[in-house]
Amino acid sequence: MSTPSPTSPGRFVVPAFIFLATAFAGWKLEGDGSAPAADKTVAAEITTKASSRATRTQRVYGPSARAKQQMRAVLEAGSTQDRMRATISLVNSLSLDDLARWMDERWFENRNGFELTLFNKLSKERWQKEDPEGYLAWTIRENTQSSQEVFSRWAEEDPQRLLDFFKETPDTQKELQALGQIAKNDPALALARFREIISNGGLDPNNAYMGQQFLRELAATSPATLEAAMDDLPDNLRAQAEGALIAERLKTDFDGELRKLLDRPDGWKLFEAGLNNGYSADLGDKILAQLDDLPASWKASLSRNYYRFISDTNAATWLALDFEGHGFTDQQANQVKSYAIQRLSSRDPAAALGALDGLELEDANRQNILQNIFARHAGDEAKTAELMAMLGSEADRETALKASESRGDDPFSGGNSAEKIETPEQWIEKASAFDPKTGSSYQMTYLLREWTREQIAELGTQFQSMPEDNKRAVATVLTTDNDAIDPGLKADAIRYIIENPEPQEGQDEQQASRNAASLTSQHAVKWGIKDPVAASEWTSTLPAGDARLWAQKNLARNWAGYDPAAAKQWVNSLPATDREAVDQFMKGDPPR
Amino acid sequence: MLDPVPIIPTILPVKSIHLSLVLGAAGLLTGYAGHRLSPAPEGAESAAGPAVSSRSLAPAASSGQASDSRQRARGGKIELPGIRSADTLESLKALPPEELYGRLALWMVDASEADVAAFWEHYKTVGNRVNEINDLIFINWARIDPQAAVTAAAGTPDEHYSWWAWACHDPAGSLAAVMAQNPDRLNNVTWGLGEFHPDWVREHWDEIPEGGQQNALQGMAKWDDVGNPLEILTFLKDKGFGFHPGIFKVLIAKDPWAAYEWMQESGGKVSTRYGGSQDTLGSFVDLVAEQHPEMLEKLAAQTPSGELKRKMEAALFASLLKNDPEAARQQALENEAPKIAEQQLSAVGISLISSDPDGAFAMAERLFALSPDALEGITRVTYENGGSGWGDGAPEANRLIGALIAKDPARVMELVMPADGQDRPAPGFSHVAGHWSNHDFEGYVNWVNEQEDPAVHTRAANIVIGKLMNEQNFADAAEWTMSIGEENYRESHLANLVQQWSRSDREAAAAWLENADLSEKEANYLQEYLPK
Repeated sequence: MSTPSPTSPGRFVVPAFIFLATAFAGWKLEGDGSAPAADKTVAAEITTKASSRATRTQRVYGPSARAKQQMRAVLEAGSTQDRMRATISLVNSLSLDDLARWMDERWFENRNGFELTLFNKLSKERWQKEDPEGYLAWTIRENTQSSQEVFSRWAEEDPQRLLDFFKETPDTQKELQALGQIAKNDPALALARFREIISNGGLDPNNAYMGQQFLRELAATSPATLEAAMDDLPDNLRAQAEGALIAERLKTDFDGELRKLLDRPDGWKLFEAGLNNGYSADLGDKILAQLDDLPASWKASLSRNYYRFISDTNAATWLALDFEGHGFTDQQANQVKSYAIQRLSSRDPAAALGALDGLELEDANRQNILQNIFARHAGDEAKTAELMAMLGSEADRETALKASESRGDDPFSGGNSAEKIETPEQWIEKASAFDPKTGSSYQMTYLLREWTREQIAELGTQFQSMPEDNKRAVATVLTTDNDAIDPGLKADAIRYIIENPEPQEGQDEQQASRNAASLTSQHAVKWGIKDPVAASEWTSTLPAGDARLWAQKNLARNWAGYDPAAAKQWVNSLPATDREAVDQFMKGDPPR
Repeated sequence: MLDPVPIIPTILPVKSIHLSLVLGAAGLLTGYAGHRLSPAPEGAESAAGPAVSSRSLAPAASSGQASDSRQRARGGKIELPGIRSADTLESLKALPPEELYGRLALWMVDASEADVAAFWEHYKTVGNRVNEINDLIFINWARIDPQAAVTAAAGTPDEHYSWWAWACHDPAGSLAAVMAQNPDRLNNVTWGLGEFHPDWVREHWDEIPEGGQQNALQGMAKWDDVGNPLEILTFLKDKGFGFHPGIFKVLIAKDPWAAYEWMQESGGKVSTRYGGSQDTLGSFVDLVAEQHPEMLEKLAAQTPSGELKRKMEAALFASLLKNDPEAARQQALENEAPKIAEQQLSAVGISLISSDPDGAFAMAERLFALSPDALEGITRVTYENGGSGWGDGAPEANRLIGALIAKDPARVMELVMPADGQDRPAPGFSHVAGHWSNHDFEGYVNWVNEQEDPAVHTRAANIVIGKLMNEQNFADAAEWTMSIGEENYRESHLANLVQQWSRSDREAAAAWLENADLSEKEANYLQEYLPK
């Protein structure tokens, strides 16, 4: 193909150079007009890495001139012990404002020796002692462990001070965390502030978990306070609070609480909410003891949520249960037993296999369980042989053998047989032989997430020069819906597929056309969200036809949602027929 | 032995008993204290270690002269005062833990090997020892005689401190010694090399045995304070250690342009040690917005359309909202890019919730006018006879609406009711109704019961039914389903209801089906959803 490949190394260098050169030029034009707080008068001409021709006037960042002098005084103090002495002196002599800047902007630049450690430790101690609020704000910004320590201490000694701190330095996530600590000593204060946060719209999906955590802590430390506030909480939080309270009550009186829940129409939901709020101790054993008291609806729910109640230790008990006698349907019993067998297989695989024979399962389900059991013990040849001898059918033995040989598929080991692919050659070889029936193209392409740009560029080059016989297989893998694939590389693969369609007829042809439009459109939009210029250039390299036109229409609409002027400029640059079609599309279904 | 340079006073809490001394010392400090905001020293003789409180002042008092207790600048050079500890082994032993580090550090500077060893004899018996004190002891011991420190700790659980501390003072010597004497401790030495001599490690990388290289990188990454962040950042990345956000932050503080180039070269993401990759682009924008906003503005203006530019503009808008809310509000209202406007309107609205609820409602009104389906947060792709979509669920817009629902839910519903000439509610109706029903189900149900427009009632009842079914309250859900006037909706709900109800409690579902006021056609149709 004569079309330039989006994955060629030049694709990265040229735009980067142009952009950097113009950026630096703009920066230079701006000059020293807004010099930084540090040294306003100093400027240095620095040659950029991007090009020896491009220069910029760099404003000087980093330590102030005075800080540099002070640092020099430490370094020139003499022996190691004199440098330590000078470091201590430095910490003592800085104003608190300066000390904060030294810490925040990392002005203690000497990394050779112990002085940096000493400086940091002493500075933190002094800052914390003389300006606790300022220090706490800094530790939160820095996300250090010490902010937790301060939370705990203030929450205990002076909770109002902690709340005042957050009024000055808002951080809802941290504040919710702090409220959990405050709740231990002053639950009413913590709850009042929590309600304030709710009414101000402070709870959002990003910190909802912290809100739930707070309710759990309040339920644990002061259930009466939480119970008294239930009616004033919004429904969604009330449900969480109720779950947290139930979890606490299940801990202290499982049987009594369960009986109360059985009397309520929404009992199972509440029980589940209690489980979601942290109750899990001996759950399976306790529910086993109560089976006869459970109504049919609870048994149905229990069998759907089997994983909550079956553990490695009680799996054998569940398997031995008289399900029919306890009022479970056959389908419910099979659901529970299938999982119990898998759990049992870790401790007693022979017993698990024995139980499997007594179970009437669909073949796929049975083979799946067999596969898991054998994959779990793959690598232990003696155990595998012992288990193999228990199998009665050829189909079972074949499944077991495959599972034993492919440790990478072991669902319990987290193994990954594809991990050995490290070079573009190896990847191409593997992708050429890829069979969607046995492998995962997602896994194959996920590997690429950590590859360097050079490796990706090399992969692109190798893909371009591949012989035709395997190229389609590789291209297909590269079109997997996985963000780990470099968009330029994927663009090459999609273009290859569009340029080399497989012959289709009738309805298949229509479907193929839809697939092509879907492939190009989705990629144009996804790439366009990150780099619309590159995406738009790519669409113009596609062969004329529906796939290209739909890609252009979709790209234009989505790009206009973010940057209408740039999108319009691009649309105006399209050939007249394409431009008209895209304009029509935008009018009928505008961006929003 | 006494250092001629006078002491620098420690910054101490002022106590009234020392007021006269404070006043006296304050005069002496005038020359240098212009930039100091901290309280003046308690007294001329109070200059001890850095963490000395008035309570422990006496035993820690150093010999020194307050009159010279300042930094002196001569010929552009600053001289830091040479201070000395007045502590003794015994006074140190008596200190509370929170005062020990600073006082011990100063005492250690002039301590002999015997002094250090004696303090260790004491400290190793203390309960709840602190790592930093152990470090301080062995660092100073190894400074004086590393072999003696190693010998003292040999075979004890504290052995690692001694080897680590040796590396601090003699990179090549410690490496040779550990390989000759105790190769099992190589990791401690290489950690120390990375921590205290990162440049040496870079220069002598190939001399470090492979088994110790990972720890050298770990030590190198311990602190983000480095004089040459670019080199260390690159070295760590090249050696497979991954991205170090702290050092990247330092690089941005010291040379944002170098950080920008580094980010560009790395393609906007760098692998992390734990798998996956770090979005260096996002980190760069956030940190530059915080540290060098003026640079970000210029960069954004020159950056091509795309993700990087959007991130820069979003950071600038967040800053504008903080510093000039009215300008931010105007910008949000006037923004012609719908997706950006949605985010800006949501952010402004959220900021106004408690101070100006009407203003927040105005933002929501504009949001729906601009994007009726703004709460869906979907990116759509369409083509002939097909299409698909994906998205993040518009968290900010939903947060705004959620907060407004808490203020006045009926008023929010008005924003998504059928417009004039329309026969059905706006696309955001279900989302808003969902917010209300989650917040106050009873209040929502009362509102639904007041709705007379069948199209509104049906869509509003959908939410009620969904919530009741989710709570497994099938009996009430059935009653609501039967109240739906639009036949298609009712049939679809009934089928779903019978199917779910029978999974949970077949008998109850069958009993309802038997007694429900259904046409024969409906009853027969629904029987198919009841498992045999």
